Amino acid sequence: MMRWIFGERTVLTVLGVGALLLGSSPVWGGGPETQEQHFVVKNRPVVVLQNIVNGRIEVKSWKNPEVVVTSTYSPSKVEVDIEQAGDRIDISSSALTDSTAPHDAEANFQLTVPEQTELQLKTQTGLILVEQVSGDMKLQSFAGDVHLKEVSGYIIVRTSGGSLVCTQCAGKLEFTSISGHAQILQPALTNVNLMTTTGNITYDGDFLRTGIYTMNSGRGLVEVRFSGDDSFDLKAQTILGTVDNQATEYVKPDTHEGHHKRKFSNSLLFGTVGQGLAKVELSSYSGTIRILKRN
Amino acid sequence: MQCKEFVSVLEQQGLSVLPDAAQDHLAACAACQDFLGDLSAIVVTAKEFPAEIDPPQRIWVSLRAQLEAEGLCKHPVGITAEASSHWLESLRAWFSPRTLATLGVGLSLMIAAFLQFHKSPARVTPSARLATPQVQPDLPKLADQTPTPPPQVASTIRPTQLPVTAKTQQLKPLQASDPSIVPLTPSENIQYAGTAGFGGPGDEGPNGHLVSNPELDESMRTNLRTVNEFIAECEAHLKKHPHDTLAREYLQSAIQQRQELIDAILDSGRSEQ
Repeated sequence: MMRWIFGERTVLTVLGVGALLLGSSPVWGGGPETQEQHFVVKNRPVVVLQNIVNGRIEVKSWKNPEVVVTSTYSPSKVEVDIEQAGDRIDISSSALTDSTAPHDAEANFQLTVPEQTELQLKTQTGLILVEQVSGDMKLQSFAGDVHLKEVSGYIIVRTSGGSLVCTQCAGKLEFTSISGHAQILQPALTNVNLMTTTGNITYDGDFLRTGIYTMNSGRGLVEVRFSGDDSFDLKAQTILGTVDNQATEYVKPDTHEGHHKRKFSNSLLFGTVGQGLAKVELSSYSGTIRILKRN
Repeated sequence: MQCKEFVSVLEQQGLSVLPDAAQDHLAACAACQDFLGDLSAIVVTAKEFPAEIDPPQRIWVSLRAQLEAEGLCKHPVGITAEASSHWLESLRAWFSPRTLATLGVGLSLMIAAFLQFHKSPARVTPSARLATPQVQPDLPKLADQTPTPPPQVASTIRPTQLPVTAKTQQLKPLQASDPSIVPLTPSENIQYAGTAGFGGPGDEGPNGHLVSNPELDESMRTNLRTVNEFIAECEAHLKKHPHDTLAREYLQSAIQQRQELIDAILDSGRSEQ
């Protein structure tokens, strides 16, 4: 009997099964795992996510008073800490081991938050995507892009090389980058401050009354597309570049105090569209400033 | 004496004692007075720099990892093959092959079962654990949702703002007479030799581990080069047009961006020159 139990074939079979179980374990294999955690909140939550390793952050909203954090990472290579303190949820990820492979230390996050949520998100190379969230937010991605859609609040975006695409955003927007581009589409923004050293800036949308819009690019193109119903004062100035005004029939001489005389040149343009209720200031160092009217 | 000769005298003899000819030229030449003023300001500022300190431990960790990755340094070998062989033989003397096989199978099954049913979760604080066993309503099918119009601006913009650090504060319009503006010297050309983190202290693992990322390294390197070139371009322009306030604003903004980039590189603890 014992000889049968410990027969060579039996031992090999059991060993093989054990090895298979070991190999199939994701932890042992070091593959990425997905964790989902739920945090009930009462009021407007504040979500702080610091992704010290690489990875993508995706934030979408729902109507439930609950924050869902879905994270995907390799537990043997990345550590994720999540802590809830009242309505504040802190998430951080960090590398557990030295790594030379680019995707070894990577943590991707998908957050589902109430519509009214404040965000502070930071990652290195991954994309930050935020959709349909209303609340103040500070978003930092070193080399990754930042995509915002139907987002409102006081929005601060900072990148070094990453670009910003902001579609149907409302509120206030600040963007600072060295080489990243900024693309603002169909905005309902009342205050815009965009600054990039070499990136391009595209603003395609309305200028709201009493809004202040400042767009500066050192070497890049600054392109503004406004509608015929807009009302704003315009100042476009470049040091070494060109002001390309392709909407001359809409840009009237500036009637406001201090600019009684219409000035057009390759480097400076003062003008007024409509009643001049909003204020638009465009500048570049050596890039082109292009002013267009949307069809 | 010409300006060029005056500069060469400064290079050779320093700022302390100037020959009579150089002093005569200095008294009559505004450009050289500015140049000497700039040099003096740099010297004064340099003396205020703190003394060199020992690099943090993470630098050595990173350096060691890099050397190991390049094969220039190896881990010490703890156990030789011969010693390992002796260890196995003595163990074999204690257990028969059958017993070993039985133990091995049992151990393997236990480890496998443990790993299978106890996947290591993300660390969750007690408060988070309390929140976990909530009934999970169906997650919205976000991709299928029809986009809702953006909320009204009036209701969403609140006077409260995110805390803005000194680094993110807006630049004030720069006046030509601003005494804080000191022209940079071409020597402020900082090289970048690779980094891992971004932003601030703590951009590394809890054990001081650094994450290599060629994409990030290349981005930092490229952006530092870009901003350095832009600063040089602005400085050259301002030398010709010192009253160009817009150029000065661009210069100040670029200097701030470079400083933030350097801070990020230094904080991440990779290396810099």
